[in-house]
Amino acid sequence: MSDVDFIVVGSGCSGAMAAQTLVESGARVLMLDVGVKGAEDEGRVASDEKKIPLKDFESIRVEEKNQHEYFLGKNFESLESTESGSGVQLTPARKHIVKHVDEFLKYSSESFVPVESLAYGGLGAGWGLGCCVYSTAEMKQCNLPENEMLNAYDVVAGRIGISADEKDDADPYTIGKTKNHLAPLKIDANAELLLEKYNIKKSGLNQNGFFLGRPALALLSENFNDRKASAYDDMHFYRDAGNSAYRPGLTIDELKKKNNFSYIGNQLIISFSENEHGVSVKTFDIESKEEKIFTAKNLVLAAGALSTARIVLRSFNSEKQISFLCNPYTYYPCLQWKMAGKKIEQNKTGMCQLSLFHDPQGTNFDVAMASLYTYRSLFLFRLLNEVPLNFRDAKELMRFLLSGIIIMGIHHPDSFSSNRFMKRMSDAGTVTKDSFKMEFVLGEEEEAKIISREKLFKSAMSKMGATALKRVEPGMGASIHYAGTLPFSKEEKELSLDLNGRLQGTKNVYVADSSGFTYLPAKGLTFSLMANAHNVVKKLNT
Amino acid sequence: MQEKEAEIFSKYLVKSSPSETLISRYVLACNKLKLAGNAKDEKIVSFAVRNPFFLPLLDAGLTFSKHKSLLRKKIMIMLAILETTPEYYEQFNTKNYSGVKWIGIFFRGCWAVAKMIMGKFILMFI
Repeated sequence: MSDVDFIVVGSGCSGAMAAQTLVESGARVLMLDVGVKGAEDEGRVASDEKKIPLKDFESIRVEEKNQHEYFLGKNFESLESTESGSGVQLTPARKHIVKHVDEFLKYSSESFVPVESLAYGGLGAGWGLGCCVYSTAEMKQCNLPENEMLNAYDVVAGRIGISADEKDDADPYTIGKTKNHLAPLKIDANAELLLEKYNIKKSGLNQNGFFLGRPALALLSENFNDRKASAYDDMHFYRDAGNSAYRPGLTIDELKKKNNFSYIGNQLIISFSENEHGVSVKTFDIESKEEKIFTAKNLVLAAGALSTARIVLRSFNSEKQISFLCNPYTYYPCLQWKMAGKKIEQNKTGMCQLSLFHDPQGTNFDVAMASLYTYRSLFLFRLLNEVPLNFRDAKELMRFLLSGIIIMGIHHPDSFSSNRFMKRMSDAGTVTKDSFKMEFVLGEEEEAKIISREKLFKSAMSKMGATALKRVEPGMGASIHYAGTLPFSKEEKELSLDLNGRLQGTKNVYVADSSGFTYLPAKGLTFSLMANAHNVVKKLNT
Repeated sequence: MQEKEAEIFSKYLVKSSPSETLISRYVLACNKLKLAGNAKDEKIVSFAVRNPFFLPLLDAGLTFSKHKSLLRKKIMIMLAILETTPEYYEQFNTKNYSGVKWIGIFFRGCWAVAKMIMGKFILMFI
């Protein structure tokens, strides 16, 4: 019999939270992960990141001769074609997040481009840090237990450090009743003006179901344990010297110091099987190119909804078509005219400045969410490439307009439909001997609803003095919010989870990511993922 | 050829000749990124290098039909290199504009649209 109580698969936000809860309960935990890092060195921070001077973005731009090495990449990765491929929009410091994905997570699709990760910390290594609690109605629709989730939100907030404003109009949608949070972060002048306009037009906007406020972010407004408060240096897309942003790698680094936790990287999980002693997991070591077997009493899958489904379908040798959920996502560059022609302040963050929620019924259900970003540290050249004008004139125009630019990224909620599915197909040319067909198509009614809702968002922004300039559809899958591949079910049903997160048809296999959610609210799911992961494993008896 | 491109694109974008270092950086970037286009794309780049006067019009004209053309990809590489060079920081940074500048910006926008139309016309003959 194995002396490992739990194998946890995946080091992303779910895996990190599940592992921490298990380790704190005294269980012996082994984490298996591919765990691609930014460089070959030990520790979470890549060596290239360490070379970036500890100055703010503006000062680096003015003073550092070798800035192109980290802003554009040593091999000019930032300038690679932006037409296709996973993670093309990532800065050089984050390119490792999608490394090996095209090689090991094969899929084909005519309608869907997923973003997946085999990195240390998974997609959490590039998470936008937005935290939202699900409402009572949303949790019910997701099949998540309300009271346990509310407690879990507090536990997770106490671990990761969340800065939030509990007194503005967005708080029912962001931090909710979670008590364990820090003071809100400062917002920049562009966002500040929008918020002022909102407060003037508030009653009309509220009547139309719009609520604006500061986002709850897993970015520190004050020192927290041994992590430093945000320096407002606008460098988060390149480095985070004080670890002010929460990344799952921080949790794993801490767990590695405990005797009852071990981590083995380079392991691509192929499948699992159960026997009378527990669970055995077959992996492919991407370094040695050998297959390996690991055993434990229990298995916790936390590889993300799509990757977990791959492992489960392969383990059950199933070619059944399964549904999944993904938030439709579009974004609008908007211009706040009053801010144009002004110099952008030196100290700010590049993360989400404000969150705008559309809750037409006032029920905190079927809510659409817009994250509002201002633009600077991703450089003009990226923006100018999308402007339909010659580069020289576009440069001068954008220098003038940039201080008033707000990028409004709108997420819409998603429910199950037969138009979205994934299916395992044989493929002898891959390490896993399979690839996955994935399709995600919106019905006509859904599309019409999205368009009409976005018109309302544009109108709300217009009332606050910001004009939407263009609608950009980055394609289905771009929200990077996936769920529902193995939905929670009260009945014993294949390829589903019971309400405790146990994979039906198994004794000791649990799923701690979003695979079980039976609805996907538009609010960012990461905070709820982590709360769910904590809930799933906290009840398990070691 | 690539050295000449760097020189011309830099003069077009920031009205000054690039240093040897920046020229080398541009050549390195083009080689690393393995940029390639079809015969027509190559012909447009070659025409623009031989006739820099037409470069703003060609760049503008391509935004109509071939937004991600070889010429525009190459200009963008030089743009990114210049933007990440301290000497040119001021030419990319935001600043406080006076009220009169609004008028200048408006006319610049109108002129940019006119260039698109002229550029589209020129591209028909290349």
